[in-house]
Amino acid sequence: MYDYLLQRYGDRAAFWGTALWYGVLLTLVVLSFVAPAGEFRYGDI
Amino acid sequence: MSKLNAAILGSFSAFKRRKYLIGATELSYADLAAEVGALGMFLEESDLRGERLLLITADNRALLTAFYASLLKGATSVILDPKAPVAELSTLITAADARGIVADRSILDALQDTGALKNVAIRLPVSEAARPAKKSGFRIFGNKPAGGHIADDLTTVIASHAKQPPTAVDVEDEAIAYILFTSGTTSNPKGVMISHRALHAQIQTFINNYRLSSDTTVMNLLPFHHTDGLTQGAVMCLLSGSTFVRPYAFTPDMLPQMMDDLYKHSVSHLVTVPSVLALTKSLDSGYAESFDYPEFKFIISTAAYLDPRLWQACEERFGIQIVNVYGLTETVCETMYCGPGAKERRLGSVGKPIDSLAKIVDDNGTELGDELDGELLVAGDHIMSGYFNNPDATAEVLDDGWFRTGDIAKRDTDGFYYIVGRKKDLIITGGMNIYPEDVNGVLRSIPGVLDAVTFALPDPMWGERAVSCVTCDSSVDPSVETITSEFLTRASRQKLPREILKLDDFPRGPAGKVVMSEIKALFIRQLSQQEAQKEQTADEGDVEARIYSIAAGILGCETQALSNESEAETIANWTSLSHVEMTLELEKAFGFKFTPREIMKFRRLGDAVDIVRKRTAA
Amino acid sequence: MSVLSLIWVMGLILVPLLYWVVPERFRSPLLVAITLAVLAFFSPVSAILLCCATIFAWIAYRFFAENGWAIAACASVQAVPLVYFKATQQFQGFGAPDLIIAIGLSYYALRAIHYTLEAYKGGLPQHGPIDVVNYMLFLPTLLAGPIHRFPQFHQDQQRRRWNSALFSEGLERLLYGYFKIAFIANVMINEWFIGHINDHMVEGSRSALYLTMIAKGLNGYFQFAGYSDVAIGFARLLGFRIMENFNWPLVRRNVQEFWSAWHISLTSWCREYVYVPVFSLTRARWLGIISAMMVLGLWHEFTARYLVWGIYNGAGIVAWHQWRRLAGERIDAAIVDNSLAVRIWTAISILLTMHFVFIGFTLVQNETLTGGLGFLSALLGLA
Repeated sequence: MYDYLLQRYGDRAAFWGTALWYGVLLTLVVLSFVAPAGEFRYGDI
Repeated sequence: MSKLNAAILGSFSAFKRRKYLIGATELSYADLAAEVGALGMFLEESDLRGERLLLITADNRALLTAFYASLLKGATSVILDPKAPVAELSTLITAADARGIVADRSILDALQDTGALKNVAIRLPVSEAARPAKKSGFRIFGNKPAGGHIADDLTTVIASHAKQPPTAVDVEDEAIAYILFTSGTTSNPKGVMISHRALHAQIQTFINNYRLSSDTTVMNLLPFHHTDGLTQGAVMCLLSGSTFVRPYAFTPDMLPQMMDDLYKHSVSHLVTVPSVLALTKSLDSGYAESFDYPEFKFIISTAAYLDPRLWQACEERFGIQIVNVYGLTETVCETMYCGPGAKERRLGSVGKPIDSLAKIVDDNGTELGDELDGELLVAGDHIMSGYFNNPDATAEVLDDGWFRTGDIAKRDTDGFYYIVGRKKDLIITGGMNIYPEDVNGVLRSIPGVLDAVTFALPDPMWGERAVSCVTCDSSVDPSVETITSEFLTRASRQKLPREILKLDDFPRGPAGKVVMSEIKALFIRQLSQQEAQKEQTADEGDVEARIYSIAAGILGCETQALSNESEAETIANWTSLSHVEMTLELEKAFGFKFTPREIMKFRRLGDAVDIVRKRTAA
Repeated sequence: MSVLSLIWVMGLILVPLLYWVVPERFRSPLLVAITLAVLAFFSPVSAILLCCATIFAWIAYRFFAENGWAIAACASVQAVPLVYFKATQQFQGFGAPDLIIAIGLSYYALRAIHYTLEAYKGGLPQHGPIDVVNYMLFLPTLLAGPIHRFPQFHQDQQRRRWNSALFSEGLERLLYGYFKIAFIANVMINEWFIGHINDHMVEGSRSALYLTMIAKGLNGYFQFAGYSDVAIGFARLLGFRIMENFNWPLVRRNVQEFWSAWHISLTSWCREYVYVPVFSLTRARWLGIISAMMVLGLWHEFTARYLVWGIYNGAGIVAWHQWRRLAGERIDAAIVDNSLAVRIWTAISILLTMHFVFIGFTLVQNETLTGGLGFLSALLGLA
């Protein structure tokens, strides 16, 4: 992610872009943990 | 104080906390400095200044400690191959006229009976077992050698002297730092004398050109009795503060480990020889990414001719740059560099001289222009002081500051130099120099051998290989096996000719001189006859070509794109399906069925070639 | 012991921390000890089985590598516990502590067989018994694969050093993995998508059944790809680059491509150790494909539904090869110059492939084969 942004938009954009991207993902993951979630069943392949 | 010694002391104080030698254990500059300091005290007490000190040990740490201590205290190190047979060692020891010796205990014991150590007053054994235990391993040994010499080993000497920062005595720049012998077993050994000035100049060139610093890490597994291991390894690391990685000496079976260790130790510069690069072909695709990490800078290929095809193939496969360099023991190590800058690079060339001068002359000594073949002469601060105790040999090669390399070279219009041949009688095999006269001398000393001629044949793996023809006394008539085993008791294995051919007599000219061209042709004829007998299937290349064309047809690519290393990971269309199709087509083409094991083993195209050859030969 | 559980997440933090703090020579033993402790706590039987498999693998390499029959016997012995547990249904990948479940057996049995057969093929680098222990008792891939291979693992172990770039890649993979499992699969697909189907659509209607099939297919992918990401990321935190398990399988143009991109560590295993040997014994390509896919199916579970599922996919691949020979190649050649046609054709191929695969999944998403077939016939309007 960082390298991709670095190539296109430079140093600063890469840093903040990556931080934002990870921040959003992490928030959603944490929220999913808190919310009732379905469970992975092995039989689903 | 010599510039070299000032630089050594500077490094010891500047890089204390950095790792210096990664060998069996990891050693810091501070560890090394302390041992060098202690041993230096001993050398000073023993009054070895201006004397020669023999270093014959397989222990890297002991050797480097002794080497630096002797530099600082103005002694001249004479470094010999610890694996060389006793006969060869005693010749060289006698020639070196040394007053001290640091050697593996087993070597000292073996030399005891030869009388070679008669004049060597100071003897320091390196006891393999005593090394790891730093202070507790205080060894007392009773077997005092006759003559009342100093009876401590290296470890005890170091332990019994205070660990203090090393100091230098006042040594001049022209003092001799070390001597390396380039030819040995005959009566006329040539010991190359390298001064402090020359060594310092060479190392500065290395540091600038390779961009070495305390952030770089060099791996060099070449032997220390060879300048490529010593100066283009340990010494250039010390003066630049680089980490020196040398966990083991190189042997072909260590290759995978070496490749893994590059990444493990974050190696930035790998110094190696073309034959090791040729060996990397045998590695599977798992090793293609061995150099794929940000710290790696480039490979330095030294000591022998680097075939442009091998050069390019390696650069492409590993995605790295190879810096081809050229030099001789007499020029400390290198004198021309092809890279690392893009402007200084041209495939197939040895590059341009750096911090040195070069010219190409004809037989009359007249300088030649571009694109003309002639002998290469070089000059600069890094040229040797001469051959030890051998003014005749020195006069032959040193003339008014110019050193005659004995190599035939040409220069292109852009100033790049190319080595095209060799004037002097020298065989370079896998980076090791072999003098035919040396080998002949050894062969002639074997009972039953009357005369011997040794010359080079081109070799895909080693660049060149030495081969010999001998004539034998019909009453003794030793077998080739006998000659081989006798040879190994007299000289080291690397000097052993790859093939020995017995002839009734040599083809000779009118004056009775052996005609080399005829003897070579004779040898090649004999060799090809033998091979033809060995392998009924004469068309080896043909098998390969047929397999390649079958594979190319199925994979939808050019045969040129294929090699024995081609496999699913490197060829786009190589799927399990095309793999199976290839198997079936090959079975059809060569008229036999693969066994299940063979099918399972068939992973790279080379596997198929091997299998087909084996099966069609049977 | 789900990777979503708190203890596993704690492990992800603590194990790498401890691992990099201790000196190099203790790292592998530490990891082996942790693996054994985890296994012994959740299922002592598993710990014992894994140790036996490891010892047995080494014996095969050390003593029988030259003997084809002995190697075949060794590989078969490695398969026995797998077959037994699969057949008796006492297998479970995750769940509450249980004394008799065999955690990770599905994966390490295949690793042991891989190792044994490679010993015969001569595909193993020089190594010692401890290296095999390190390989077999590797915590990150213990629960849910990938079925990584010995040569690559061994090389990584030889090369191991702290590398911040690799570590940060590992953290990124963990985040992506958890995002796939927790958010995409659990929340988006299971909560929202399936929730929507249940709340707003007529139960048992064909459109509801169709969307359920799609949802379950997507769920399967994101769950498993997420678990693989977690394992791969965890391994990277420890300095190991484990083989990838998924490579965009849902956007593949044919069944063959799909099975080269789905659960790669398993499909490539079946290719190397089932397809190639069967082919080399019989020279019948189709038999090789069908056997490989049967093994692939039965590996999941020793039941009729997985057998049928395996054959279904195997038949799909054989059929695709026939199709390619009869018409596919010609169609490709005919439209190669027309980029729009190529795009439409590609889109159709991808959709067809995805549906073929998802229909296959319905066979195994129900408890029994009859259930699956019932769902399928309802979906197709046959019931």
